[in-house]
Amino acid sequence: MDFKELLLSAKESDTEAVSQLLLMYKPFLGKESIVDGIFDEELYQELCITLLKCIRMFRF
Amino acid sequence: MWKRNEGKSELDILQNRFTRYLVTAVKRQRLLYIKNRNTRISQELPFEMQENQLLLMTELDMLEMLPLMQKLENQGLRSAISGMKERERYIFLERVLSDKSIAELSIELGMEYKSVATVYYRTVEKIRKHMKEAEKNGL
Repeated sequence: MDFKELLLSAKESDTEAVSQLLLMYKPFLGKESIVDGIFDEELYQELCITLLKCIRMFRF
Repeated sequence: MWKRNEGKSELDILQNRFTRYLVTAVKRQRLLYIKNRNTRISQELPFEMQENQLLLMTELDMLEMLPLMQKLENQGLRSAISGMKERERYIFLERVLSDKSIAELSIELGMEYKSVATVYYRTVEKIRKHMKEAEKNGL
């Protein structure tokens, strides 16, 4: 699946597509979860949720 | 390792658009989280403490309790100081607050004069950079 199809399936809640997107952006989310030099698990969870929201709200 | 795409094909353009969208949302969410965390920490500070509580406190908590951290209004500065390693923080604060000379600190810590100086000036640069970043992000 190319990115467009991936995003479209994810928008329709295809769990496989969503997890692939999560995997793609994991390094980025991980890096942004570091505060004052410490990894914050709760922040990481919130940012994952943010990714899910973006998938839902993104307009082609 | 991920590489940047060329941004020319329609797919790449789409992906970059999505990524930009995501980056904006993530950075905003992160700032909100940090702001909330700090107001929560400062509000929950106990003024009387049981001995057990004292034992359970981590080094980071103790840091937030420093009268210094409570006085500093600049969030960038606060997070810069709490992010520093023990040695950097000690050298920096002793020099700035207690006016200790580099020579004094080198004797105290058993380090070379040059080492202490390097640590100090590097720390200052780091703080400056950190504060600039924080200001850019609108803290």
